[in-house]
Amino acid sequence: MKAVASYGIVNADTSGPGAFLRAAKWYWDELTDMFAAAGFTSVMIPMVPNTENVSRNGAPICTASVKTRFGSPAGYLRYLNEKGIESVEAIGISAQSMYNSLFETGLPIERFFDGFYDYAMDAAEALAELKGSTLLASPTPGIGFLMEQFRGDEAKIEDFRKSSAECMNRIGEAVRGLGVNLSIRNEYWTLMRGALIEEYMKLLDPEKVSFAPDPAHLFIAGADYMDIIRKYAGQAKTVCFTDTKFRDEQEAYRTISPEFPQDGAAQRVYWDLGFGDMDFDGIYAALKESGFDGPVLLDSRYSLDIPKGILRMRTFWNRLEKNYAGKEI
Amino acid sequence: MANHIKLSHMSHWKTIPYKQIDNFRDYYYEDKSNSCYYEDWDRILRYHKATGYDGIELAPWDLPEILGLFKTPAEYTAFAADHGIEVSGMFHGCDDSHIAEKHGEVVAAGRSAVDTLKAFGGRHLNTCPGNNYYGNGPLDAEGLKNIASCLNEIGEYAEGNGIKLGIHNEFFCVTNKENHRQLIELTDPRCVHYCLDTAQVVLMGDDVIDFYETYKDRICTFHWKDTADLGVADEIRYAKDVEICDDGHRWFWEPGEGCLPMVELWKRVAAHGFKGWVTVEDDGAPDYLAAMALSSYYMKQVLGKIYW
Repeated sequence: MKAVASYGIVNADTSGPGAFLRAAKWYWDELTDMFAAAGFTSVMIPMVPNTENVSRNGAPICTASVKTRFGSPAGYLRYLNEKGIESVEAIGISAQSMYNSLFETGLPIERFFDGFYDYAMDAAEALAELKGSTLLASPTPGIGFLMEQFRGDEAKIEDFRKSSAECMNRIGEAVRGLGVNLSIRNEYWTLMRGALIEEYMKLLDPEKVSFAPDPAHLFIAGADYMDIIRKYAGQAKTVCFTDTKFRDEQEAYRTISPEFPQDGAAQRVYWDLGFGDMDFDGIYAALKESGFDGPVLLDSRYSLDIPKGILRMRTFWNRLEKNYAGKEI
Repeated sequence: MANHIKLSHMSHWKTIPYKQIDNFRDYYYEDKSNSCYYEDWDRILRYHKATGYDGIELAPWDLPEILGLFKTPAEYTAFAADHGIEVSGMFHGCDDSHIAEKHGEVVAAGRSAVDTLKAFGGRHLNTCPGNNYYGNGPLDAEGLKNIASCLNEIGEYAEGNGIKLGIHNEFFCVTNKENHRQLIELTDPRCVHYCLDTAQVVLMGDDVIDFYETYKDRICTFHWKDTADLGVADEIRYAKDVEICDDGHRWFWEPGEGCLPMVELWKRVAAHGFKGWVTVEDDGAPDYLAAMALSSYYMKQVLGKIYW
């Protein structure tokens, strides 16, 4: 298995110590060095749709900001190579990011999936230039947002879910021509959550779209993550590793602030890898037993201390491999 | 102290994800990080009050999240009032205002911004007149007139709703050194005012003292900040994505940390008897809370001794 470090460790959107700096190129120059110094040679980059506001960012947050700073994705890859990062294995796209961009672009919800397709293709073309393998998509916006958008009309939300699956199939077909796989990830606050995953997968063409299970999101949604990972390991082109201790007792997944629960005893969702409750030794062994040998996207999402979080991610992976090797003997 | 001035702070915190962190101690112990000090409106507003501010200026790009957390502008305003803080104003951008065909759309967006600000109880709609220079400039006379026409129409609507529209010219804006004064002349002084961003006009290459003396009757509020760059070359101002410098160079500094003649300008403000909101803008600061405190100290302990 190949360890791929996710740039999702940086929460580029929210307040925090030094938050303003995260939009500057120099900050990302240093972070890139840190990933390489921690021994990562491949990365995953979450990207949002290109809008005027985010495109001016010095962070590699969308293809427009990459093109402005490096001329092209190929130029960015040369820059990464010089710093010791050999490849961008995956680019992450998200229907929630697409939904968030509607405020700035004014695109009506009726054209949501046209916009999402364009966003996906733009990211996939960049990924092909970056010599990556996987376009990782979170296929629907949050349930809370959809409830508001459609005023709780379950039939409209169901139609939206089906349309999103059609859109995934369409994207999956198109990106194959670029030599890219489309994998979809589960997030506990989207329509692709927990028990709904099975139903969603039935709407997808397995030739075009694979499922990249994420244990923390399965756990929060109340699913048996080990069972689901075992079930889908054979078809997976990639898997996501996110850690958590969060139990969604107040149904934050139904709100429009699911990743920052406003109520309840615990208001923090994501933990640096190795610091939550997920049984990654068991997951790693299950993946090995299934013959999975693809990229593992290490996502210490929204780490509270990013340089430390990068080092923790390396420590986590080293221990995981060591523990597994120890058991083999 | 006469108290003619109310001090506000522009919200550049980025999205503040929580209304309130109830389990503050537990959150801290989770990773023993200082993140929990910067993630909820409750504490951010406390910092405003604690560091001597009376108000906050909202950023429109934060509105979806603010309304998500507070449901209505009135609820946000009440929450802020509980912390002793008022909404002084909101930023607004008149993108595409130079394009005649976009007039209706731009005015509608402007009116909507007025309505939003009014619902938050704010007073100042500080309005960037147009897009970035890059990709849009230089403007011809028609383009400039189109912008003025949009501002006049939005301004008239604003005035009727008790809101002051103040032109806020960015140094990389399509209206720039060669025509930003001309734009002011093209607008209606009865309803289009000026928000003097002390650093932006200097970055454009204008003289802030002369500018103030020329337009003091049009100035309805300030974005008060410092800069160490007195006049930025055209090729930089007119380039793509210049606001956030790749190498970390800062265009803006806390008042007193740059090179602007702040005391001299403030004496002119005092002589003119300005009364109202002055908003400090600390964008670019690596430690926003420290910058707020540093700025407040300068405003109150240095400038405040001259006039307040």
